[in-house]
Amino acid sequence: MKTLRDLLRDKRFAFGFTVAIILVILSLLSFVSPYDPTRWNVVPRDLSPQWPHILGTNSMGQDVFWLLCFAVRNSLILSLIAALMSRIIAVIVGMVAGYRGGTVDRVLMFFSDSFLVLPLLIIIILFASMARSRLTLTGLGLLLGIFGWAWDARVIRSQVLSLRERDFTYTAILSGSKTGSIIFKEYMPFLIPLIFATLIGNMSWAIGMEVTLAILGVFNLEIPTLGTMLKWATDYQALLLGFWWWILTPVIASILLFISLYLLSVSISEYLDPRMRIQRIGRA
Amino acid sequence: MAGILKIDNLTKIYTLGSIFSRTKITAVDKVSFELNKSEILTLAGESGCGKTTTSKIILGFEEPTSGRMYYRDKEISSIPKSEKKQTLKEIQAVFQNPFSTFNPLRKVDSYFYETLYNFKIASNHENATEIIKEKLTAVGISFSEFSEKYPSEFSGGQLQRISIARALLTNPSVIIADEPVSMVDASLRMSIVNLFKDLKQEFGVSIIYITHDLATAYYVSDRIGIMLRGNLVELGPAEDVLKKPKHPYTQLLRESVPEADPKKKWKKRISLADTEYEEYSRTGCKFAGRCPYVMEKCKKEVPPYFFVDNTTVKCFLYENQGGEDDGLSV
Amino acid sequence: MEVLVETRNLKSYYVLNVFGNIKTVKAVDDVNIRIMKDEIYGIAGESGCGKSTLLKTLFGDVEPPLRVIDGGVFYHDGGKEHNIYEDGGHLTRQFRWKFISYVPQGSMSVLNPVVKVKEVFKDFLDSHLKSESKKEAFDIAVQHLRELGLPDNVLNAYSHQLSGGMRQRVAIALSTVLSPKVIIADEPTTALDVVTQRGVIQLLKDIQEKYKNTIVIVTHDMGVHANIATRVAIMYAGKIVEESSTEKIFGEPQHPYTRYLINSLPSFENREKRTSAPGNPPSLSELPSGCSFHPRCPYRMKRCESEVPLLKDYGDDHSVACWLMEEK
Repeated sequence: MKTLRDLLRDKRFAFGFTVAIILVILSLLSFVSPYDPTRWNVVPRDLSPQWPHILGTNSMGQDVFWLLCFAVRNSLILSLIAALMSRIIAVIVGMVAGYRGGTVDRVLMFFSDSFLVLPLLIIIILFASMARSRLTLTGLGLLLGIFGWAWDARVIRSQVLSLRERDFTYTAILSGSKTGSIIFKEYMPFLIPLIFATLIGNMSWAIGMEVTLAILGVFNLEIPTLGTMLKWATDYQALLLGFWWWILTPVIASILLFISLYLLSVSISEYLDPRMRIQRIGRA
Repeated sequence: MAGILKIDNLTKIYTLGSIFSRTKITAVDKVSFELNKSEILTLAGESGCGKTTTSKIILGFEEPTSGRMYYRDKEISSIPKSEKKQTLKEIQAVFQNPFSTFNPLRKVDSYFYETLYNFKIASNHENATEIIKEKLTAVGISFSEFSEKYPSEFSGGQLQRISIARALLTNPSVIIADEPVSMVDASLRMSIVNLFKDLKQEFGVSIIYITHDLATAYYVSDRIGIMLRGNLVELGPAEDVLKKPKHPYTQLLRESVPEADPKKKWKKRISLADTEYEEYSRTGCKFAGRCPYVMEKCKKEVPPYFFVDNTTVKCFLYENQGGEDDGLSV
Repeated sequence: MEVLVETRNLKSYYVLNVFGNIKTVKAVDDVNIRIMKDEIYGIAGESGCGKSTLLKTLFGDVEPPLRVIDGGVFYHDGGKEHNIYEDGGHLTRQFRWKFISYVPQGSMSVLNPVVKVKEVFKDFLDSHLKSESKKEAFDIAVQHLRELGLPDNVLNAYSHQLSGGMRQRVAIALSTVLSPKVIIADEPTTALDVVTQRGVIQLLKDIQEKYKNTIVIVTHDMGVHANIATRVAIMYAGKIVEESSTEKIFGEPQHPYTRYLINSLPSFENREKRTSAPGNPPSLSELPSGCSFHPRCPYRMKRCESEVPLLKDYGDDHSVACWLMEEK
């Protein structure tokens, strides 16, 4: 499509997009994995990269490559759940607070600020450690989602506040539009770049939290994610023993994932920025 | 009653600041006037005089602190919510900046169709298009150059005409135009100002024209009201107010307009106020600080309205000349 | 009369790359003007006609996407002529604020909001007069404000405590403290009220009378030009279409566009109907062929559609760029 072609012109997007596609392919490959990631000793242990184990094997007798596929898939799913959940809350809170103003605004912002001030890491560790082995991927996703919206709610609120004072809000009112319609038809196009940028930022945050929790040992280590891979590798002293493939794989994959998410976020939000869109209108 | 719209002692006070330091700004201070059928009434004054706030209150975008408004003899606040939409239909607005009047990411025609459907003026696309074409012709824009375009694809002058067409869709009786040509280029201004004159003549629309440009005000209005820091200080026929200004502030304004004629340069010198804030919070006449004819009385008491020679003036200088006035008789 | 600033065949365009499309905005398109000593030169025209860009180019404030494509801007200082675009900008810095100063549009927002006005003056003077001590710099500022009739307590205030008009006058004071020979003002009164505007224009006039320097003022408000300018140039779509003394421009406009402009201005003389020029001004990135005004001109001839008329002096210091003049 035209949009994709336009976006691809931006080198940052091109790189981020390519890496993202590779990571998605990896996740999809997990469905055809010949090995069950929760089982140990399905292959010979501690083999360095060689065919058929292209990324080697680890000390528990698992193929690193196929493990990576599961890890990427799970990390992506987790971050998507967390990010979507928090977007929904942030958007609703931000819009209502911004448009209504007054007491409603003050109350909502009070809640939002409380969430900001709370030491999130500690609280999440608390929840996670209480639920530890029963905490599924979805569960963690939702948990992160419930805590990750506060900052962005304020961002959205301030955008709505400024939009509310623009003349075209008055024009819409004079055209007989109702409040809900105004918020959706008039404001959404302006909010979408914000939502997108914060979505991807939130995904990064969620993955970061997951890795942290895993390394602290507070997450279910049976589920393969980038964090748990790292945890196992460090626990088993992979670096010390020279099993570089085992530890480098999740590290490099994580780095690539973060970079790609960042680049996508920056280039997409620039593309969606209303000012840029207005410039492109003429040549359509 | 002859008036379509009647404003009675409208007041709007803004409180700024927090619990510790509150300041009150009286943006609109007991303003009263009547708007007649088929007339162009200009509210003129410098920025911060309250003209825009007054218009926002009339349109319902702000709540007045006190005072009443009557539309066709019915008090606006007593109109039940279900009929409010009807009133909205009859009072429309044109704003200063055509580019912020429309959402830059929406096609302009979408506003037109939406208005017609919302107010149930048209029930389907064909009917709506017919009405739209009619209004566009009235403002001198062709349907083909208008259709399926975004605001940024028009020039300022075109877009302002389109904004006027949008205001005409509901066949309003009153249009409030807030500085409608200040952002349009000098060479195109007149055609839009002429448009307002035509609207009055052909469609019988009453217009409240807000501006700080006295020369254009002289050209287009029937009556003019001069505002200073929330007060309406002079109100009367355009010819009288601008050619024979009574209030010292009107005189100052009139003299300060740079005329587009090299033979008419300014001769006198003036000194400027350093801050505007102090004028808002004055007791007594707001102009006392700068008035060349100021008397002791002016600093302590607020002057009432006097009716002299067809004009209402809020100034002690005219105390003995005319009868006292409630500001509404003109 | 001595020439101070001159442009020769000046072309400065904005070159934009919008997602793969190159768009060239011809903001200043082959402009030749000469600005003399001891005059007030007004430039009038619609917004978007290129006047602000012309000022920026005159001051040397050219940054991508704005580029000087052709021609040059020459400062005549003490008998010598310098093309400010010749040596990559070093020359420009030397001249700035001492030979020529600039009051940009919306300059009331130019004052740093977090420091007091006297700090702004001090920073300014420090970077240009190296030897002054703090006290000396302050004294220079006070003296200057007094000369301009501004109260010196302004120096101890923050910019947000001052009214818009006062801020504008402080910005003008700042631009004149080093006694430049040329002051360029871009829409100095646009956001101001009528009464404040009068005060600001009065200040500019006083400065010119006192220092006998030159002021170049750009505004779309013809009333301001009528009141203060000695010569006026009318700009349309990036080109100067007419230039003459203020009296002649208002009294005997020759170019059809100027005629429309002057005739459409409302005045307090009468309320007779006035008309505007038909049509709309062209976009600077898609100019019509030949004379840019021809699509709207009631007198257009075949020639106007293909040939660009040059700005020629038709006697008595009245220059017009119109093929009609050739016929006379």
